[in-house]
Formats: sequence, C-alpha cells, structure tokens
Amino acid sequence: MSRENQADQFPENPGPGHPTGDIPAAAMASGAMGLFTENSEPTAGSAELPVLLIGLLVVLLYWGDVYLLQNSGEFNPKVYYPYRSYDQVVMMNPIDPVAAREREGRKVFDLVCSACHMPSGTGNRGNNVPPLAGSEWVLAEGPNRIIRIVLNGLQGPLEVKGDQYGANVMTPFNILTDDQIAAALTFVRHSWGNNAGPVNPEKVKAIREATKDKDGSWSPDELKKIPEKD
Amino acid sequence: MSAPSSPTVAPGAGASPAGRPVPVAEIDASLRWPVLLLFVSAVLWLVFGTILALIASIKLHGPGFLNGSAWLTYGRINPAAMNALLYGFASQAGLGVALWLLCRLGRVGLCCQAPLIIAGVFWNLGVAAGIFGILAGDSTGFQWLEMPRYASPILFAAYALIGLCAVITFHARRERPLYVSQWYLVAALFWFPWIYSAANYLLVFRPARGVMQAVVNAWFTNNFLGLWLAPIGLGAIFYFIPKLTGRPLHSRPLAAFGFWTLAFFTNWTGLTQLIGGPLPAWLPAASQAANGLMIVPILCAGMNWFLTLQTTDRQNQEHLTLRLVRLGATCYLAWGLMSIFTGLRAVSEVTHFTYVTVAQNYLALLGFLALTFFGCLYYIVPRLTQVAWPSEKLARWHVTCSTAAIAVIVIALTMAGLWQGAKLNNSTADFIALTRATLPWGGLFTLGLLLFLAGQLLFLKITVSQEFVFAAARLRRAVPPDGDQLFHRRGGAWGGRQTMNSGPLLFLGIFATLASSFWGLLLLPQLQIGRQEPVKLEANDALYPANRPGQARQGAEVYRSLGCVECHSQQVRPKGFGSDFERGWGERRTVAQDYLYDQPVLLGSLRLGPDLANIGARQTNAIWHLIHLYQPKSTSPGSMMPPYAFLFEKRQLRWGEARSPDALALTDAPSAEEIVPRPEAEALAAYLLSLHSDVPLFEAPMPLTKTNVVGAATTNAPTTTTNSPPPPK
Repeated sequence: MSRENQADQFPENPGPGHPTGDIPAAAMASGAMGLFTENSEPTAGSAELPVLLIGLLVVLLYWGDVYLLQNSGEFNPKVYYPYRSYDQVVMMNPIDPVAAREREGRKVFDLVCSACHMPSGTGNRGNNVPPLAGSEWVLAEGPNRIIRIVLNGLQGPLEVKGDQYGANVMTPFNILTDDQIAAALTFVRHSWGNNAGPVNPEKVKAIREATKDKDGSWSPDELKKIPEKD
Repeated sequence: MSAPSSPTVAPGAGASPAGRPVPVAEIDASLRWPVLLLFVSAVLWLVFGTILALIASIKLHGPGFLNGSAWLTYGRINPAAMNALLYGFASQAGLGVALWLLCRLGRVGLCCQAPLIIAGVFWNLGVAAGIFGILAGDSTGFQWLEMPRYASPILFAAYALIGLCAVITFHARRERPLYVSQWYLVAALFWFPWIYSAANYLLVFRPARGVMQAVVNAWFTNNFLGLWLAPIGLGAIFYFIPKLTGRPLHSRPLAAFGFWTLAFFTNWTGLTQLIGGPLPAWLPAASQAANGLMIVPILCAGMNWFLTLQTTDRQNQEHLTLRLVRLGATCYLAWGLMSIFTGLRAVSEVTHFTYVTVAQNYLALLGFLALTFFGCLYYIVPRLTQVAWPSEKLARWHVTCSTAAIAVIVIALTMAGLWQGAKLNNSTADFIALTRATLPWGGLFTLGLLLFLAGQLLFLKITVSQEFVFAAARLRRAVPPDGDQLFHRRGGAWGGRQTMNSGPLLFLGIFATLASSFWGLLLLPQLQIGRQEPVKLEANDALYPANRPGQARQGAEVYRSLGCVECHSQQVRPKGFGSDFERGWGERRTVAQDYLYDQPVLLGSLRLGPDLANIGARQTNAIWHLIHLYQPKSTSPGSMMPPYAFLFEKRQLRWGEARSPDALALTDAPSAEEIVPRPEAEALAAYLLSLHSDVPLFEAPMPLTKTNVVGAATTNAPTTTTNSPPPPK
C-alpha cells in the first residue's frame, strides 16, 4: 500500500524492495522521477465529526462564559483579582475617619472661612484677620479654645505669631453643625504645614452644651483662662 | 490521467486557468535554491543559538563564567539565544517547509525564486543585526521582541517579500481544492506579519502607555508560538502522517473543526502569562476561559493523527521522517496540555516565575518544532539536491540524541520549576537557599543542551562530510523531461463535503479570528488602562506616579540594556496569591497605575532573583545597591547574581592621594586602589531607588498603618541616603 520507501533516502541501507542497494543509479537509469519514489500527495477522509466533540465544545463554551462572568470584575478597570466587583473594592478600601473628616472640612472651610482667612490660611494683615497657618491658637495641644471661638466668635485685639491684630470681630458660626465645625477645624489643624490632632464632633457638642448661656464674643483674655486641653 | 479536464479530477481543478499540474520533479527543482538557503541558515542558527543557550545555562549555576564584560552577561546572552532559535532557526526552517508544502500541494512550481533568495539573505542579515544589537545592549527589553529598531524592519521587509511570493504561489496553484495543511500554512503566513508589525509598532516605534506594553508583549509571545510557528509545524504533521503512511487523513471535517477552534481560541490565551499581574481582573479571566477551550483543538489534532496512524501497521512507520514527525506531534500535544495546565490559576500560582515556563518554551521550540522540522528536512533536502543522505545510521543517532536531549531538558526544567515554585510560595523558605537548591537541576539542563548540541553537530557532519549541500551545486541537471506519468493524482474521493476550499473565505476567517483578540485583548484594554492618567493621592494631594528624575531614567536604560528582566520581575501578586506579600516584596499588589511612566514596562517572567517592584522602599540605601552590584555576595551571602564589576572603575591610588568621595567602602579592598562607580552604576542605583509601589490606591487598598496615612513614600524620587548600609530585608 505504501510506495514510500526509506531506502530511497538512505542508499546504504536498502529496503526489501531494493535488493541491489544501488538506488541512485537504479533510479537514474529508470529515468523517471529523479532519485526518489514517493506516495501520492495526501488526501483526507470524510469521517464524520464526532458529536461528542461538539458537545464538549458547547459545554466548555458554557463553562468559559460562566467563568468569565464570575471573574471579570464587571469588566471594570478598577477591579483586580481577587476582587469580583466594584462594590467589593469600595468595601475593601479602609475607611480612615479622620481623613474623611478632613476632606469634608476642606469644603466647609472653602465655603465659610476662606473669605477672611484666605484659601491658604494666611489671614489678611490689612484687614486685621490673623493667619491660621502656624498660628499658636490653632496648633494648641487641644481644641478647647478654637472650638469656642468658632461657636461664639472673637473680639480682638489679638496676638498671633508675635503680630498684633487690632479690634476686629470674628462672628459666631454656631449655625454650623457639630460635624461641620469638627471637620473644618480638623482640616485647619492639619493643613498648610499645621500638624495638630483631629477634632471630634463629640467635643464640639460638649462645648456647645457647656457654653450655651454665653453671651457675646470671647475676648483673648477670657480664652486664655480656659485650659487648652481637658 | 494526465488530462486536466478528466472527469475523475476533483471539481475545481478543471476550472484552473493554468490547468495542468506541474510534475513533482519540476516543483522540487524550482524550490531548490530558496529553500536550501533557508534550511542551511536555519541549521546554522540552531547550532549558534544552542551554543548561546548553553553558555547562558552554565551562567545559571556558575555566575562567574565568562563574566568579564557587558556583552556576555546572562541578561544579553539568554535573549540572544532565544532570538537565534526563534527567528534564525524556527522561523526560517518553517518558511522553507511552508514554501515546499504550498508548492507540492498546489502542484505548482515556485514563482519568483530570485526575490526569495534576496529576501532569505536579508532575513539572515536582519537576524544577525538583531542578535548583535542585543549583545551590544540595544535590546528593547520585550520578550522575543528584543531585536532593536534597526533590525526588526529588515526582518519585516524580508518577510513581506517571502510572504508575497508564497501568496502568489498559493494563488497560482494548479490544484484548486485545498488540503488541511494549506489552511494552516496560509493562516500562519497571514498571521505572522500582523502580530509582528503590530507588536513592534505598539512596543518599539509608538509605545503604548504603561502596562499595556506588557499586554501587547504577552499577546505577541503567545501568538508567535501559537499562530506563527505552531501552524507551520501542524501543517507539516498533517501532511507527512498521511503521506508517509500512504493512508488518507482520518477525517477532513474533524481537521476543519480543529483548525477553526484553534484559530479562534489560541490568540485569546496570551494573558494567562499575567495571572496575578497588574491587570484588571477581566483580562486574565478572558484568557483563562479561552485557555480551557484549547482542549478542543488539541483533542481534534491528536484524534486525527492517532486514528490515521492506526490504520497502518508499525512497519510502515519506520520511515525516519515519520518517526520525527510523530515525535514532534507528541511534543505538540504535550506542550498544548502543559500550556492549558499552567494556565489554570491554581497551577500558575506555583509555576509562574519558575523554570516551568522555560521548560514549556523549550518543549515547543526544540521538541515540537525542531523535531518536526528536522523530519521535514530529512525528507525535503534530498529531493531538492537530488542527492541521497549519505548515512542513515548517523541520521538515526542524530534523532536519538536530539530526542533524549529534549527529554532531559524538559524534565530537568520542569522538576526544577515545580520545586522552586513550591518553595517560593512557602514564605519561610529562604530565597537564596531555594535558588541555590535548584542548581543540580540546572546542571542537568546544561547537560541536556550539550547533548542537543552534540546531536546538531552530528547533523552538520552528515551534511558536510559528503559535501552534501555543495554537491547540489554540481547538480545543475535538467529536470526529468516528462513527469506526467509519475504524477500521482490525488484520489477523486475527496470525501463527502467540499468545504473549506475557497481561498477568499478561508482568508476572511483567518482575518476574523485574529481580529477578535486584537479587538478584545488590545483595543478594549487600551481604552481602559492605556489612557490612565496620574491620580491625586488622598494623603497629600501629590500626583501618583511621579515621573522619574533624569538619573533614574538613565538607570532604567541600563536595566533594560543589561537584561536584568531575565531574572528579576517587577510585579507583586495580591496578598494570598503566592507569597509575594509575606516575603515583603510589596505592601500591596501592583496595579496598572504603578507603571504609567515606565518605558519599557518590564514585568518579567522569571524570579531567579527577588522581585524589584518595591525595592526602592525595601532598601533605601544607594551605597548598599552599589556594593551589591559590584559584589553581590558581600551584601547577600550566597547570592547567585553575577557581579557587575564592569560598571565600576578600579583606580590605582598614587602615594598620598586621597580616596575619591564616591569610592566604595569595601572591607577587603587593597589600600592602594579604590573602586569608583561609573555613571551607569550610579544611574542604575538611582533607578532601583526609584522603584516604589507602596502608596495606597483605590484599586489596591492597603491596611491602614501609620506610614501610609501620612504618605511615607509618595514620589518616585530616590530617597536620600545614609552612609550606614542597613541589612537587606
């Protein structure tokens, strides 16, 4: 059946079909196809495709589909293995309450405080507005005094960082909620190079309660009697 | 029989404009010079590549071996070896086989022989220029695309000419119906220029941004094997098994099914190389799904070959070519199954970054491709030269030697890799100790390569000793006058349906399959992660990542040029996947955001050294890095890293001369000389210090610690250094 013979390629070892072993010469002499005999070019049979293979493909396609959907992380570029959904990534992000309060505080500051104290907390010397950046009042160990200033306002004159600020009035901001005040102060105490501890809403609430009978603004001398820290 | 319009001829053949099939001897004569050129240079590149691979493998267990200059460093020798094997040997041998098969199956002589010879010469020039470039340090750094930008266009142009000739020849075929092999060959000839040009364009000429480079690279390497070299090998196997057994291939419908499933799924599987890598979850998941589906085409091919071979008795299978092709086919099936297996997430957790990946590539390259192509060579070359092989005994030795060598190489690397992977994932195992413990397997690997080289030298002896190749030069004999009577018409029985005989339709399908992954694995992620911008960090409003300072960027060039990526990865896998986190290689997984300003992005695929994604935070001392580069063993006892002494200058101190302030403070240095880092070493150290991925990002959250709340390391700038080297972590 097979007309191909190894011996054609390796004359030293003639196959059974070539008793002489002198293949090249013999083949030349026969003149026909150069040196080598060979089978006809290959053909392909027509056996049916096994149905089981199609079944296997279908099953695997289904599996691949399910696998992809389960592991695709909703095709969201922010979802990496082993997370499976965007919500999961959000959940896995550690919540830092202080940082969140600070972010909130920036908004409050920009809306309420920055008009006078300037967005960069430098204050305004000409208008007698003291700076917040580097201010010893802001950086005090505890926030007891600045919470009171925000709640009830302040009547100067005031000394900050060695400079005198004349008789200007800071209006009370008791319309802000405890959370907003705590946030704004946390932001102020941790910005522009300031690095003092956060302010808790509970603290603001307690002071608001304690000073609810206070009439008018604080004066610096009054404030200095209040301990910085409990 | 000779009449083209004979009723027994398959439909379509009679419609051919040229009609008359060309006699076999005439076909072979037309192929002689171009194909011989490709074959001879392929074999020479194989020997050259094996020698380079041998040197590289010796360096794995003896880092001091040939360690004098940058040219011979492992990071350059190893890619040079792979490029010689891939482009010099496999691609060229494959092209030769493809041309021969296309002519034989189309029953037509080769058109445009002179352009083909020119193109063949240029292909070799391109490979030579590329390998020279890699050794000279111009490597692009991308796996299997290391050839610099002055070499790859030569290769592409040479290929364009060869491919064009092949397509013209295919189009002019006298036998219109297509055989199975032709599908694979036409597909490969079309796929190669696409993947090669697209990958070069997106990585070298107009680089994609950030981690997209790693995606393109993985897509390329996967397709280079799976859609360029493998289809040619498969085409040859599908040709020779029925041809040499004298039996028809078991089933054409089965082959068609296997072909299309292979075409559709292979090109989607590339990103299984990046499981755990810095890619959004859906990208590796898509590749893993396709990877599972690869069972179907592999099963189809295996069934078809097995059932064909079964119809004939063993005696008919003694033919040397058939033996080689059968071995090649076995290696193909083994490689396919191995790829599926290592593409599973649980397996990849162990085998990723180990010698197993190397074993897999050698199984494909030397096992599947080299054995198959040698089978073809043994069959084709005598027909081209009209000279029989001088010695069957030597040829059988060549085959035995090569086969044994491949078995040794693959087994040694797989065992080493499995052991290495198991130990790597055990965070208590010391890194240096576990790397050293793979050395005996490395020795076995070297022996395997040596055996393989011996086999190839034997092959060279077979050809050269009888002036085998040169004999052809004297053989400008006229073609036998009339080949018609010898011409074996394919049986009229094509079997059942006459499907898949149309060139244009085949082309459309081939186009569509690759286009699917081009769209899905390259375009979609480009829209998602390819256009990322630096993000503002919550902690301190700084932008991340910051661009590298100039010196560190120069250091990145040194890192690329020396091929550090051959042994060091730059990616941290997520906590709980592998032990990257426990080993302290990173404080969180790396994500696409981390690589925004890297050029090139070198994620790495092997960890013979520790991961460097976060080295700038782990070891902040520049002096430590410099001393480590000069003498790795002095800072990391037992380290297998070769010393990079050529990055330093040794100066003799004159009497009374003060030491340079930059000189390394080595304990064992003679007092009369000093070691001063060259600018390259300083830049490399600056680059290493700039490697940070320790900032918490939304997509890669980190547990709250005091370091990252205040933003300890928020820039990529090198940390200031102190003079006392702290111990390495």
